[in-house]
Amino acid sequence: MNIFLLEDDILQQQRLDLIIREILLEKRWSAQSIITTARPDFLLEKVQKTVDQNIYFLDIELNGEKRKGLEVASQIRQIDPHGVIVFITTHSEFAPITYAYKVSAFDFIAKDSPVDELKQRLIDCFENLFNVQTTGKKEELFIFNNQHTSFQVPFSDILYFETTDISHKLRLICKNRLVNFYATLGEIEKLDPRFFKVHRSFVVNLENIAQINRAEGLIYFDKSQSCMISRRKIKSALEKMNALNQLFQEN
Amino acid sequence: MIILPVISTVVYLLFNYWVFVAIMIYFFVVGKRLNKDYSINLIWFFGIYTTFSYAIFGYFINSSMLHFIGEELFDRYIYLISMTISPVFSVICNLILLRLIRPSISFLEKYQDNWNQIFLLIINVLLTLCCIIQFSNYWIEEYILKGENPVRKYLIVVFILVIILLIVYLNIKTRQMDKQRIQELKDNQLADLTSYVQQIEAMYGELRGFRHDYHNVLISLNESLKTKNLSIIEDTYNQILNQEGITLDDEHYSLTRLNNLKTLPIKGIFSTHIIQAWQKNIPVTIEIDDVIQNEAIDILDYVRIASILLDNAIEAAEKAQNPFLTIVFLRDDRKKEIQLIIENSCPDEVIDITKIFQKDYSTKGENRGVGLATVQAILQNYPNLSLQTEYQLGVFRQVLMIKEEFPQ
Repeated sequence: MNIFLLEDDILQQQRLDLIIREILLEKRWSAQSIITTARPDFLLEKVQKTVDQNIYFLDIELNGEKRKGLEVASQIRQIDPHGVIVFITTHSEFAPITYAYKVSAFDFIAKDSPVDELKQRLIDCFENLFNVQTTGKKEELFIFNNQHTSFQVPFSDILYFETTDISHKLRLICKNRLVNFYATLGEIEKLDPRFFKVHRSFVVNLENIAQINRAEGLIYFDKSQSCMISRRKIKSALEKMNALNQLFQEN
Repeated sequence: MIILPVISTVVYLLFNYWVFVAIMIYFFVVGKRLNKDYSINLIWFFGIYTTFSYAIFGYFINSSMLHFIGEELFDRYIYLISMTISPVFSVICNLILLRLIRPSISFLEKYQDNWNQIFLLIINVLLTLCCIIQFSNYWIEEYILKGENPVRKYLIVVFILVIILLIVYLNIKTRQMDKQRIQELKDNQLADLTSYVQQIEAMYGELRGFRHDYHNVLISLNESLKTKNLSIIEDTYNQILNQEGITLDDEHYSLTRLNNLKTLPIKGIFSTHIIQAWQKNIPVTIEIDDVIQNEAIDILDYVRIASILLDNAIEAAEKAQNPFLTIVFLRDDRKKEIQLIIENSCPDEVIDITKIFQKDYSTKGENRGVGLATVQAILQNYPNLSLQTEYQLGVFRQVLMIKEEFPQ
C-alpha cells in the first residue's frame, strides 16, 4: 500500500500524517511509502512511479487555486484508475456526487471534524481499499454511446429494451432502473451477443431470463417483470440461451 | 394523416354518402389507437373536421362544375369528375387550410392539459351539426324530393363560411391561449426570482450581523490578550466558542450554490423549490460545481420538467422517515453533456418503476400521475434528452441528461 497526502497547510498536513501513522500502528497495517506533500507536481511524479494499491488524500483548494485538487485527481485517474481517492477539505466544498461522477472519488472528509470521527472515516477508506483489492474485478458495465446519448449501467442489471409510442425513443428496463433514450432496437441488438430481439418491440438480455412461457407468449425475468416474445422466436431464443450457458460452463 | 384522406376519397367513390359516417367512426378509432394520450375532444375534432371539409369542398366543386359546363356534359363525365377533379380540388383546398391552421393544431396537441376543453367541444358540436345537416340533405334529396334541393346551393356557401370562420376563430383563440400561457410562465418566473432575491437579502442581513458579532469577539479577545494571562485568554476563547449566534446557519447558505446556475428561470424554479423543501423540514444538499448554461432544450419545457421532478421529489421526501433531497448539476465536457440529478428519500413502499410513467399511475393516489407522463411526453420531442430513473433502498433518483445538440 502507498499513501499519498496532498495538503498545502503545514499544520493540517502534520496532523493528518500523524493520525494516519497512528492508524497504521493500531491496525498493524504496513505501508510501503507515505508521501506527504504540498506540491501537486511532486505528488504526480511519485504516482507515476508507484501504481500499486494506492490511496490518495487530497485537499481541493491548493495554494490559492480553487479546484486544483480536482484537477490533480483527474490526472491521478489517468495513471491509476483503481486507487482510492478521498478529499479532505472544508464543508463548503463538499460535492460527493459530483466528484464521485468525475473522478470516482470515494469519500469526502471534513477537515474540522473531531479526531475520533476523522480517524473512523480514514479507517473506512483504508478498509475500502483492501476490499476493492480482494474482491478483484469490478462488475461488468454496459456502456452505451451514440450521438444523442451516453450512459452506463451494470450489465447484469439489464432485463430488456422496449420501444415507446414515439419512433426511435427506447426504454431500457433494469432491475432497479429505467432509462429513456434515443436509439433503435436494431442498433441495440448488435451491441452484444447476449442481446436478442424476441419481438417487434423488445430486445432482451438472454442472461437474465428466468423463464419463457410458451402458452402466454411471455418472457419472465423475475416475479414482477415480463415482456412479450413472438412465437417464431421462442425456439431460437432457447437455442441462444443454451449456447450461452455452454459458453459460460466452458469458461 | 395523409393516408386517411386518400382512403376516405376512395371509399367515398366506391360507396356513397353514408360511408362518411363509417369513415368518421373509423377516424375516431384509428386516432384513438395511434395517439393514446390525446383527449377525446381532439380526436373528435380531427375526425369530424377532415370528414366535413372533404365532403364540403368535394360537393362545392361538383356543383360549380355542374353550373359551368351544363348538366348534359356533367352527366356524361360524372365519374371522371368525381374520381379526379373533385378529390384533387378538395385535397388542395385542405392543404391550404391545414397550412393556415398548423400552428393552432400543434399548439392544441402540445399543450393538451393547459387549455379548456369546452371551447373545442363547442366547435365539435357545431361541426357535427353541420355534418348531420349536410348528409341528411343527401338523404332527403334522394328519397323525398327525388331531385335537386333548392336550399342546397345556399347551404354549401354557408358551410364554407362556417369552415372559414371556424379556422379564424381557432387561430385567434389558440394565439390568445398561447400568450396567456407564456404570460403565466413569466409571472411565475418573476415570483420565483423575487423569492430568491428575498432569501439572498435575508442571508446578507444575517451575514452583516455575523460580521458585527465577529468584530466584538475579536475586541474582547484582544482585551484578554493584553492581560498576557493564558488562563484568562483561554476562558475568553471558550466563552466565544460556546456563544450562540457566532456560527452561521449553514444550511441556508447552500442557496448560494445556485450561483453557477446561469439559466435564470431554472435558478428561480430551483430556489423556490429548495425554500419550499426547507419549510417542510427537508434537508437539501446542493452540488453545482460547474457553470451550467446553454442547455439544449426549450426553456419552457425545461422549466416544466424541472418543476415536475422537484414537486414529486419534495412530496415523496416529505413522507419519508428520514427525509432528504439532493440536487446535483454536472457538466461533462468530454461527453458534451449536462446532467441534472435529483435524489430523494421515499416512504417505505414498493414502487414499480416500469409503471410510474403511465398516465394514471401514481404512488400519490388517484388521478395524480399526470406529472411524469407529461415529462415523458415532453422528452419525446427531444432526441438529445435521456432520463434515467432509479429506485433502490428507499432512495428515488432521476437523472436528466441533456446532450449538446449536434449540428444536423
